[in-house]
Amino acid sequence: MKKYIFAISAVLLARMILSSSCLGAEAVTNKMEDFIGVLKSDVGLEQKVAACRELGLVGNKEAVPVLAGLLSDEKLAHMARYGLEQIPDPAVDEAFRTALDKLKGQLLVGVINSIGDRRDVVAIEPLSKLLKDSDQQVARAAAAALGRIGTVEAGKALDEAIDQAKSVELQFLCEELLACAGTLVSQRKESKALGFYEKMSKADVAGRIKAAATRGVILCSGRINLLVEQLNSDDQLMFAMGLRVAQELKGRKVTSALIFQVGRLPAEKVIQLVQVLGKRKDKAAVKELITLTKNGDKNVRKAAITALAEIGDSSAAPVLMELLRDTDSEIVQIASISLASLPDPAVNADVVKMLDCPESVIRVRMLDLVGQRRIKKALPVIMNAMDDKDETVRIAAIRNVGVMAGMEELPVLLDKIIKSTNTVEISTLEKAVSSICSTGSDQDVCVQKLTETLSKANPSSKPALLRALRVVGGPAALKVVRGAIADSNKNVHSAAIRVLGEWKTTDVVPVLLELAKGSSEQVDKILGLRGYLGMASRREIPQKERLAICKEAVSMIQRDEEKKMLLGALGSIANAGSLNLVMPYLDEPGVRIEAAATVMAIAEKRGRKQNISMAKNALQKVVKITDNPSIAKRAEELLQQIEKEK
Amino acid sequence: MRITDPIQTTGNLLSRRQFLKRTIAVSGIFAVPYIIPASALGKGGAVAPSERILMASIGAGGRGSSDLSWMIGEQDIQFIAVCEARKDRRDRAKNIVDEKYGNKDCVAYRDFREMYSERKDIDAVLIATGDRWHALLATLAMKAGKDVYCEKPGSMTIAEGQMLVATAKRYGRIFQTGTQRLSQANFVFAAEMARTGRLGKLHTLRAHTAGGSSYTSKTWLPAEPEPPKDEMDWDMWLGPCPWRPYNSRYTHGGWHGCYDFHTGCIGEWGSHTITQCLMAIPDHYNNVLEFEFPNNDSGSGLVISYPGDLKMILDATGWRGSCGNKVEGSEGWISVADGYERPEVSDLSLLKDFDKIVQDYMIANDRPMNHVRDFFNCVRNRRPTVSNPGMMHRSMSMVHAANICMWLKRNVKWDPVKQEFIGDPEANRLCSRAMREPWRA
Repeated sequence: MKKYIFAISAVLLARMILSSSCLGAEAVTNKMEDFIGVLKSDVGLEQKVAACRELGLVGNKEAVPVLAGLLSDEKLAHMARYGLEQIPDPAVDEAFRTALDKLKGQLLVGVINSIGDRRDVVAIEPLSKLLKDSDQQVARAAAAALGRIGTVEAGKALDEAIDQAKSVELQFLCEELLACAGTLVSQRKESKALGFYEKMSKADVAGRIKAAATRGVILCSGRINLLVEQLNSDDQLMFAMGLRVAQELKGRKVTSALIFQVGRLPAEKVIQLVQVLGKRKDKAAVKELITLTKNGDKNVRKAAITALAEIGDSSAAPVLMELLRDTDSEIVQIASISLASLPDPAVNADVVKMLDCPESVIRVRMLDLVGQRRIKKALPVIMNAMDDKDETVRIAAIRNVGVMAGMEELPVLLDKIIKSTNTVEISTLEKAVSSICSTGSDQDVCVQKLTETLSKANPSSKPALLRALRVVGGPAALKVVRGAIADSNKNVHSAAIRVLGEWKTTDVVPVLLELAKGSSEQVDKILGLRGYLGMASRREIPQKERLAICKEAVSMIQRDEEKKMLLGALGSIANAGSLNLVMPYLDEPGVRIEAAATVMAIAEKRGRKQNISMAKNALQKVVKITDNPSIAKRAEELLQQIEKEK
Repeated sequence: MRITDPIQTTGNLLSRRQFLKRTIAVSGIFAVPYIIPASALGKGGAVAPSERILMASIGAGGRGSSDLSWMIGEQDIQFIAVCEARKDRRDRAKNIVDEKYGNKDCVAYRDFREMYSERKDIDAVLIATGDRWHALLATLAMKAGKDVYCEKPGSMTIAEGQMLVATAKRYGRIFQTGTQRLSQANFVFAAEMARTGRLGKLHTLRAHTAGGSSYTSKTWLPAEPEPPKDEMDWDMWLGPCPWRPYNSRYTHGGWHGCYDFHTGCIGEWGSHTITQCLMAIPDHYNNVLEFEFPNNDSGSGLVISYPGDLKMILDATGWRGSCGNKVEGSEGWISVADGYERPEVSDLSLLKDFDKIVQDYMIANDRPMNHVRDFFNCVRNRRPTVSNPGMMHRSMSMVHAANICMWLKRNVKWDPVKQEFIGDPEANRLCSRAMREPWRA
């Protein structure tokens, strides 16, 4: 082993810790030796604590004696366990077992806890003896460790102790035996766990323990009659537990028993039982659930509809479709949601068939279902429905064409935009076209087709097409929209400017600046300026460019609305340049609150990297002008921080 | 130690239990939150004292006070006790409760064990301590027969998460993690759009992480004189964590960034945002996950690969607000974060059914867009919450695995079914930490 300079510094130790991950085998061994050396040295407690922790990561058998030697050290015992618990070597278990005879009180409790965490089966015997320890904390720790170990033998030790225990200790032992039995069940040893559960279910313990034990009895034995008994219980804990088990216990017989109970239990319990039938996903329940959807208590009906959707059996589809005609709108809504979620593709045929239904209301719901279920085969049918004489059907058809259509259908939709005079229809067509263009593979073709259509469109349709061009984006689309500013129709002109103001990419920046500076109409100037300022808040644009936009905009801004936009953008830039631009606004009554908030945002983010004197001035001013005590307090704190950093 | 004189339970406990029994039965999946029968409502819609869920809070810092104020607005609950290791905060929490109810009846405790021992009538607890206590307190509360609303993160280690899940299952307790965005419309919308295939084939999920470093500090702050126990119970504050000398900075938020107390910049927001992403992919919960070391300190860019083409990426940038997530499919993407009026989308047409999709989700799943209300509904009807133990552990296992990937500076593979890192004894060592005696898992 290396020789150590025992006056090891915290900095050196920190370096050792930082480099203790991601090491080769030899380096790990070296690190371990370093940390063992620390523990053997006379360095301070903090360094030893750190060494224990790191040995948990790099330690092996060689580290065990050193750490085990600290188990009786009041200041380091916990950290020794911390390190030991993580070392996967049997020597650790041996060390913990050896310590059982040597320690008392809290230190012994700690070691027992560690044995439980490591699930050391060899320790069952000594732990069993400790169940009778006169120190109650030790006895309880031993019981908890046995519960954690979770073997049949550990369970037997607890089981025997239960025979002798009363009152609180009995309850405590049962809690640990529950844990033990739970582990046995997770290892598919139900037959071994059953006896433990049975004993606890009859013990004189709190209801929550009895309920948990009874659940175990039912799960391990499959006793359906006991499950039914809980479902009929007036005791809330037992009923709730029965519902849980009803969901957990598999098998057709269980489903049958639950269905039988549906006819016997009061409606309020039936709702929850129906929910459980849904969660069980057993198709054997479908027939009964279908019956429940048809009449009776509304909440039971709704639960049954949802349960059918959870089971997902297509045989429920015709019933759910029929429910779309129900007079209760909630039932219709839930039936519709359930139909949309039935996974079987065979349901699609039923939906398509219903598209011919004479009732418009039903046709609309079916069109939405076609969209929700993405029934591609139905696309020609819903394309035809875009010409339906009923407006609600037409709108629903267009809406769902937008969900499923592709580039092939784009010309038809564009043609409809030109021909339509109905504003709702045009708006829906716009969304459909935008949807296709945003996901279309060939954006050039989209722009080309939109441009061609624009040239033929009447003024009422042009704004929709311009907005669709914004969705596509790119230089060609930008050029077309820019050109539309010159349109003689005022609405089209205005729409073009608004579209530019919401443009997605930075190539629009010069266009917006030109609008803000050179437009003859004040409204256009403001729209251009607002779009320009909007770009300054876009995080994808480098801060330097955003700051340049802000600087350029300052001289053009007149109204408080735009000043607030500017301040919002500056808050997201957060450097000396942005702080400089904010300062004058602290003196303006209409925006000084926003300016103060911006100063704070900048100061919080970049406290150390900005011009100190400027930041100080700004914060002092904030303290002076703000009416908000928490902002003032925070500003003062930041000022103090700046002073300290000097 | 109890700080004020205890009060007698004013309501008839048996009657209240009977009420709970009745409402649990009455409250069907669609009945909540309307499960409070009209007969129970007094003037102004108040629920009679004997019919309320009795609550206690543990931990009363900023978040704890905020949760307390949120919960206390619900009509069918009543806080009867608060518990906190710091006196100033303990008093503040008691004041919030007393002010609400117009009396001085709320009892303040320093030690939760004493609170449980004295107040057997507590039905549920709000746990909003520092992260180090969450899993252990939740486990002990559930063993004591309480339902639990627990702030995130739900665990400090994988083993703690396993402990919490096993206890909730064993006793059938209701547990909700404070990942409140699972009950907010924008986040639900993003998850639903992805889950239901409206974004086409999903390929990427992005989970926002807080800025900073994954390499949390293991060093101590200088020792300061320990305050009187009644003012600040330092031993109780530390709880199951390794002992270290008192320094007031820890108890004023300085525990953030400490290895013993905090899950780092990945856990700080990842405990929220990974859960938000998971909501979108319920069919992938059992997949083996590979965590790819991004070779930086923050963990930003860490890729978590699912079998096939799907991946989740931790990302410290890319949103205008905090705790964002983004779902990306072959037919578009949706991005959400705090402060967004509406989700950001690859195409505005994706938002056209926003209200309907959220409403359908609420109806089909019986989830209110109010996280604490979801918890109280579930307490009454005994069904799992939206952020139940399984969900908490699933997401926190990923947080821990990501942290372990960062700490080891290499890739790791996590098997969520076997609950172990595959062929990686070194990573498996980091799955648990021994608790300081007398605390135990």
